[in-house]
Amino acid sequence: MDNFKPWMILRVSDIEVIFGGLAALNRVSFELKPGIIKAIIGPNGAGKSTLLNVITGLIAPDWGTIKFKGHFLDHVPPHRVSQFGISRTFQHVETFEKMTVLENVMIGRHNHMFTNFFECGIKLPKVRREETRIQNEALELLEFIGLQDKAEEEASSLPLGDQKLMEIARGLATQPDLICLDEPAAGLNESDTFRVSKIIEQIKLRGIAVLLIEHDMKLIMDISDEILVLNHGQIIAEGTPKEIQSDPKVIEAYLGGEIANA
Amino acid sequence: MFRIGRRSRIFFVCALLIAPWIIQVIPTISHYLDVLVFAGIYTLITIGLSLLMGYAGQISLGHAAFFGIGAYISGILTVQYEWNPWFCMLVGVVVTVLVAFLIGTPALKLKGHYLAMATLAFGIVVFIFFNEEVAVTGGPDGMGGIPGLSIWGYSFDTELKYYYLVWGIVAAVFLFSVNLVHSRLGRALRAIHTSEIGANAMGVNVSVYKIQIFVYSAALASIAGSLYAHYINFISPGTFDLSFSVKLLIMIVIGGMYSIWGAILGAVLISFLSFEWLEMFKEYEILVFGLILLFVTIFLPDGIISLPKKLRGIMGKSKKPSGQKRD
Ligand SMILES: Nc1ncnc2c1ncn2[C@@H]1O[C@H](COP(=O)(O)OP(=O)(O)O)[C@@H](O)[C@H]1O
Ligand SMILES: [Mg+2]
Repeated sequence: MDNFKPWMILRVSDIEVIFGGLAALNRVSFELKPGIIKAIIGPNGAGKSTLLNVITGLIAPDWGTIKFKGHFLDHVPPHRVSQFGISRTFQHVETFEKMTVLENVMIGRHNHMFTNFFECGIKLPKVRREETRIQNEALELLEFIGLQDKAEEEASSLPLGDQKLMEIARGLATQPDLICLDEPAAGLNESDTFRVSKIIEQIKLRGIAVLLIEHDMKLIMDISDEILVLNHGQIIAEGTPKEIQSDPKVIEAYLGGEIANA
Repeated sequence: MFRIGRRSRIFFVCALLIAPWIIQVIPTISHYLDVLVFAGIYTLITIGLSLLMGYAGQISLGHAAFFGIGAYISGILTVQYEWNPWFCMLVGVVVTVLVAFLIGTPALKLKGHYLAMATLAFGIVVFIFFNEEVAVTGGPDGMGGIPGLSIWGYSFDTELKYYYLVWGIVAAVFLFSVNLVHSRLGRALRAIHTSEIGANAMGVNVSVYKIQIFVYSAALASIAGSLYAHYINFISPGTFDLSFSVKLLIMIVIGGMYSIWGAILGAVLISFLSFEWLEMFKEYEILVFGLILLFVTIFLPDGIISLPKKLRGIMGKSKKPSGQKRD
């Protein structure tokens, strides 16, 4: 393989996705080092969410490959991708309704439980032990995210900000090496946004790589190590926040004053 | 959704044990025992449907077919081959599991109306098979002479004995199903109900769980079918047509499909309505069912089982909504 870099945790090569004749992603390639925060920015419709969907297996690319920890993940179904160690949240929350916050997070630990259909049906002692273990692990995550007081509330009744935080806890519950966050701060007030940024930094401290889609430029510039700029399905710039802020192409292409002032 | 604790379970078991004795001493309702046997048989199916529809959110209009497969396999193998009825019941379950797996694998990839259509088509095909394969099934005339059940020389030859047999099986299935619901499996099913994408992203193999629960509910329907055949000793295709699949849906919708208790309530209620209380309406019976269904879906979308909770809410004494361990 050309310029083989084994230390990269994720390698996206030449990804193309075509929706109804239009390219939502056009030859997108980039790499991700383990344990860093990489932001993906770009105007609405640039293809950011589509890129996450390809990485997490929700969409099979029309062209190109995804390599994660040495495994090719393009055309691998999403639940397998999760088992390989990529987790995610959603731009539009996918809260499991009629379930508590705790149960939502426990779903994230589904694959860390091993009892099967019959063992669950006759409720072997180990089913209860496993259930207690998972419950405690989920509670720990809720504490980390700051939602422990709402563990027993119905998840879909929570304010949007809390649901977004809950999705992060749920995503972390799968014990990923990479978590993809699709606009975690969209629609949040200032204090919640600050909370989110602190949480993302702590996720990084845990050694988990983060792919972060956001529109909040201040948040992006504050916490990301690298930034990738997408426009019309193509990468137009990639670099450190400093480089991106002063990149004339980026400024001209779309961000204008907003990015220079952040 | 509806906390029904240990106390209610004990109450339920006592009620089950005592009901026949009360019924038997009152001459005007002594035949209710017969209705309760049918109700128990239907309950086996609705418990499975509650898991499939209420929990996993997957519709089926084909469960009359699984009911029929169980009944016909028991009928054919005991009458024509004189095999042991219990073994035939087991064969029925194995065949049903295979059929459900083969049907469910492609069908459960479909959503909503398409899944309804696919299962409906399956039900119709099986119904036609029962009707047309005269040599095997007896065709439209049905098949009689199906023996009763007995175990080690003890024969379930009265309504009372059969009642205890059926409801004993219901109790076992109920416990198994409640355990399932409260395990990682039930949790996965409930997650699948609202967001397959979300469940998938959390590593839940959505299609596997959908198929598992579809197959489980089909197996229960098959057991119910065998019990049915051995109880009335005669089966004909009419019992297993589309309208029975619809009736099953009515049962769980009216009882409340988000709860296994609702499935039991619905099966018992509809049995009494259709065998007893709506007799006088004759051909307008279906109209009355329609009205009840309309009323329930508008005013009690979570079924009659949610009535106490609703009343508590209206009286303003509703507790703070909290975590929900549903049965
Ligand atoms: N499932 C889909 N079917 C058809 N077009 C889609 C689909 N998902 C996204 N698109 C289109 O692809 C483009 C990129 O969308 P998206 O990735 O959501 O952008 P972003 O997240 O950057 O705002 C948009 O033009 C959008 O309309
Ligand atoms: Mg988006």
